[in-house]
Amino acid sequence: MKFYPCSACHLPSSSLTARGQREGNRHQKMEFKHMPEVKECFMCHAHQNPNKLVLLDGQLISYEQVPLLCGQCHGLKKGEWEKGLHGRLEGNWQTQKIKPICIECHDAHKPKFPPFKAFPPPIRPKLGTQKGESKHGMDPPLP
Amino acid sequence: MEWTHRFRKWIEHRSKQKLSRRTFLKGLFAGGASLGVASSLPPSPYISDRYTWENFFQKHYKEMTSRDKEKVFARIERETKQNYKADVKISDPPALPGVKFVYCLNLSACNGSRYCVKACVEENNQSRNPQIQYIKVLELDRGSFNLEKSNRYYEGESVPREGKFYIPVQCMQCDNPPCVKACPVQATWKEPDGIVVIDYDWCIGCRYCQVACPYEARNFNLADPSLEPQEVNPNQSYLSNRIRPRGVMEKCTFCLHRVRQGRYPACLEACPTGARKFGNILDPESEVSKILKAKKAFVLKEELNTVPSFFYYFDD
Ligand code: SF4
Ligand code: SF4
Repeated sequence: MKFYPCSACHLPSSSLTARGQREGNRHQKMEFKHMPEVKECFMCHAHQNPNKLVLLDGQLISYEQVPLLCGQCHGLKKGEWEKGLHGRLEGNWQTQKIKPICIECHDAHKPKFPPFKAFPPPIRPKLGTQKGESKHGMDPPLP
Repeated sequence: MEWTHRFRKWIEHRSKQKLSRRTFLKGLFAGGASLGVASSLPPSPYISDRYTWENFFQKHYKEMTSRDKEKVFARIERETKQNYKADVKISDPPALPGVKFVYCLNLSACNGSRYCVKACVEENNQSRNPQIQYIKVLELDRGSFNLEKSNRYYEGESVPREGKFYIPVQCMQCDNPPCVKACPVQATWKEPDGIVVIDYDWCIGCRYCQVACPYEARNFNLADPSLEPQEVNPNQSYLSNRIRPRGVMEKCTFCLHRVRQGRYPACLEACPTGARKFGNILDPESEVSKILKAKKAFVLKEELNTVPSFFYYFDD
């Protein structure tokens, strides 16, 4: 958001329509896999102000306050996040704890984590038992 | 006859060789003694080449004065420069008062991507070949919890794999550590902040502790660790991530050199999913305290009474 603010394209006070998403411009490529029944951008994005988000009660919030928005549905997760039970820990455990907000890890339009490519497995030992490999409680045959 | 001639020649050859080696050694010892500088003695061929004079007579870590430590750290820095062509700084951060470190891991979040393993290897200067890794990520079928049937060699083009979940296992920093009790020379002990450490220069490499540890947390350096100069992490500490000599035990120390300076362990910083939580259990405001209060946390192999400081939990 910092490097590519909405106001770079949209005038700060222009009113937005959902037309763009439907009729082909930059936003059309955007995949939305959050709530299957919702097609409306302005459930979360503010109509009048592209740099703001809107809560269900119509209150405008900035992007930094996004946990308020997500917490409307994911209240329990938000509570866990506030206590530090959910989410990454950054900074310093002693003095300066930094809690990344929801959209720093999750893509709000596709919040489920994508599959990752794992780093390679450890090298199998050539000799001895290859522990942790037997699938059905039986040792694998030695090479 | 041909063969008697050859045999005589061979005997002559052998005896000459022996003679020359003995005289060579004699000269060497005489030279060393006359110089009177102990540290200038080349390593004796009768002690393994891993020992130098200084190293052999080094004190146990707990008995070292700060001056001893200075000398020892200088020696290690020099040897690392010589053997690995890397400039390193050996530090020795003390345990913080009123701190007991605890790790919590959210198994619902872990996706088995092994980012932690990679970060750990890089942070702790683990040997690349032969390979040593402190963290083992075990893959299990959903709904099962038999560690014996886990797979740690899974290939992960796209993790998490269907119907699987993952348990990363590393040293649990047990409060009742069987490894410490097994060590015959007290080369491994528990620090006041809960971290179980090893004095790599005091370890005799008997591997008793490796057998005693029920979590397979300890790794043995069967050969000299191999690292490229650019792979060496120069920020090292005596008790944790300095490059280990051959023939000693090593294991996870919760990144002692980082956490005692307030930083998070390298595996936590690398974890992309936020599954890893770390903090001071004596502080009721810390995340780990709150997790242990709010979640049904459990430890591995609880029945063995090792009292681990490493907890696992699932999201409800
Ligand atoms: S996990 Fe193993 S190595 Fe670590 S403290 Fe416990 S017994 Fe010792
Ligand atoms: S291998 Fe080293 S640390 Fe382990 S029991 Fe033997 S001397 Fe102690």
